[in-house]
Amino acid sequence: MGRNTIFFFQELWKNLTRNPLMTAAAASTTMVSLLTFGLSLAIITNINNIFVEITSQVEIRAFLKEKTDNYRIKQLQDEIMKLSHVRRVEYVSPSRALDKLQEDLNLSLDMPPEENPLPHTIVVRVGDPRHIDDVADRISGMDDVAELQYGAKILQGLLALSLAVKSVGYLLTLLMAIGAMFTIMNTIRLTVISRQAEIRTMKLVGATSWFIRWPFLLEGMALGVIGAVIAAGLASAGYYMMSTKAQSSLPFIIPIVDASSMSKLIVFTLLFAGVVMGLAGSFISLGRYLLEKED
Amino acid sequence: MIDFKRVHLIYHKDKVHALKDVSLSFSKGEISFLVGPTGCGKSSLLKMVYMDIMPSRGSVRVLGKDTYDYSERQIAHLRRKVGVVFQDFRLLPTKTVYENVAYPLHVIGASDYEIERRVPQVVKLVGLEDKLDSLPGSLAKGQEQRVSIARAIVNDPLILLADEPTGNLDPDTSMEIIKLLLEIQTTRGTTILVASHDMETVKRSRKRIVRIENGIVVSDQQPGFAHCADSLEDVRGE
Repeated sequence: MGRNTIFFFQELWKNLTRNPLMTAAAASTTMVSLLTFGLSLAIITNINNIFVEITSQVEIRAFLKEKTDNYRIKQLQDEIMKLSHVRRVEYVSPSRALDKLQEDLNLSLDMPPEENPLPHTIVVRVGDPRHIDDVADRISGMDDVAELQYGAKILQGLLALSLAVKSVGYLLTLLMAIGAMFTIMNTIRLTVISRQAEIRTMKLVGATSWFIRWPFLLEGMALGVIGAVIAAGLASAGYYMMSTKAQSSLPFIIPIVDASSMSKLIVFTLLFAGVVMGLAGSFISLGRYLLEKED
Repeated sequence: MIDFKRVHLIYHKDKVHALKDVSLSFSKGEISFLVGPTGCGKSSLLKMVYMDIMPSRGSVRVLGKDTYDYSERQIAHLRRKVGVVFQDFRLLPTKTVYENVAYPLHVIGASDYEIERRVPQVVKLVGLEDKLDSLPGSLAKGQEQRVSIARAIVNDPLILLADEPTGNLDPDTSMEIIKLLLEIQTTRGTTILVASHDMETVKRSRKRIVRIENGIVVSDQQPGFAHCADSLEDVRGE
């Protein structure tokens, strides 16, 4: 750019304002493509979030041998906490477990403590559910641990499903992004084709390829940014409305990503995508015409 | 300054042998007219100087270097030293007269001060100072031609190539354009090559006339022999 930076921005402004209808059409096309991309991004992020929430709630329940004393229980808690990937360790005494059972089943059992059949239990939460088998193996090898209980099979199924859904989701999002780029590319190509003769004249009066390219790159980037800003605004507003409605009607069932975090993700991703796609679209569209020679 | 040595040009697409064994030399500060009927190869010769096309055989040397030895970037830089007045003007349709003339100055990275100083000067030289803000579409052909000339000379080129600069213009305007080119040659020392089939105007200039027919140089008359051009009546108006 160098010495010509101001000239390139002046050219950009002229190109954008010379034909406002054409600019509006190009920006709208870009906006629709990016909006589709933004919405698929919101959907995949939420699906991902649902799986993360569900799998992170899976816990290991380590039942201890009946005669384990309080000192050993404390030792075991410390040992488990030191294991990698362990996020939280909680001890549940037999009497507390009985209280909870009565509460859950809405029963009132008048039982003396020595007759309580429930064991000492240590409840372990793992940070990343993919490591739960590893952590369970280590706990089961510890002295005084009688039995372990965790939904290994359910968890494995969930993780496999999560991976499959995520892969499909990412693939779809990628396809949306590629689709958006082709749309932007074709939109810019139309501008380039309409100015093909001009580009040739520029070359003949001594302009280097980069001198010709810069205003087009800036134009592609500007169209990408304009489209992205509008798409991000619409997608964020739409998401806010939908998430508010979903949370008020289904408060505990679906863990939805909050609107503020999602807006940030959408704005940054779409702006980045708009800039990159606009630049790449212009660059690719222009390449052919800068190399062409007239017969 | 410009040397053609045994140049052949074949357009493979149309299977046309456009130039055959052309050898010509043009010195610094010289003005020469290339005459001949349409399609005889005049424009092709000019295009080889600004490297829009390359010879099929033989060599073309511009500013001391064979055109095949120029890289893509060097070609762009050479074109900044070669002003071209195109047959179809090739003005940028969305730019005003001022912007069209200023474009080559932006290309060489001239300062705003330099551009604001040079452009009005050159536009005044071609007599269009009252048309600075007009778009090419609103100008008459002769005016477009003048803008094209102004753009070609704005950065003081070493070589000026004019392809049919008087084509489609009335005799008075044609003579004015030729006078303008002669003035540029004498005041700036620019090497000028003009392709034209307007024999009347060319004869009156009393400058070097190279006659081309069917891609072959049939005569090369030095300045002062313009009266000999009477024999070229047959090529007029082709």
